[in-house]
Amino acid sequence: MIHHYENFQGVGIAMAQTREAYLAAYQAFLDQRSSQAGQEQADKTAYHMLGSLYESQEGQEAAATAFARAKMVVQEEAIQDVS
Amino acid sequence: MGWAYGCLGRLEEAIQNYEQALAVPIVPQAMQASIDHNLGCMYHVAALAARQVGDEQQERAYLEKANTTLGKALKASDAVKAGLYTQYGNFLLATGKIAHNYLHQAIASGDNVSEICYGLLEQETVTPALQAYISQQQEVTLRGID
Repeated sequence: MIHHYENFQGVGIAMAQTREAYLAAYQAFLDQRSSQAGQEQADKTAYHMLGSLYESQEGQEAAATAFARAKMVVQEEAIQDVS
Repeated sequence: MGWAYGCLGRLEEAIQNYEQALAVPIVPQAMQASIDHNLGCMYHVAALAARQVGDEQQERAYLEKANTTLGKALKASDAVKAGLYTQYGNFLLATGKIAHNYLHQAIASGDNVSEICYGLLEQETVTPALQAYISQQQEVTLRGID
């Protein structure tokens, strides 16, 4: 939806939220989902796509940081499971 | 075989094998939907290839086939599968049709399981940001809901 945001607006479709609000909601969704073990590759792709949707450098860096944080959580949980 | 040929970038053989698979009378409905999904995507790729060489007639024919085949997959699937709905929504948008309701349904489904796999062959059918990522990775699998 965010990928097509401008196109939708261009043809007169009123979006319920701003582009930034959709991005924030998507990031929150990814952060909440990303602790699933075995989904690291899918998470990496999702966070990469999120980063590419941010127009600012800060936004892209925030997405990369969020992925690194999510990855760390998965690793910590894996260590706890083993111990 | 269709999938394997698709991975090798051999579009005509991929299409031919998917069409032959659909001609088998005892294919279960779920598998039929999956074949239709993949074949519809291949038709879309073929339409874009025809456009690149300026063959408008062939392009229209393949777009029509893609629309029919993806539509068949949609009707045959027992639940809203985010991968299929996203693919169909993106296809319709790429062909200038308003189809955001399919994307809405994909998101609303909450389906975190179904995936879409894009290789270099399917690269042209996706948004520029994803195209760039596929170029880097050669193949990208993402959850349909993403």
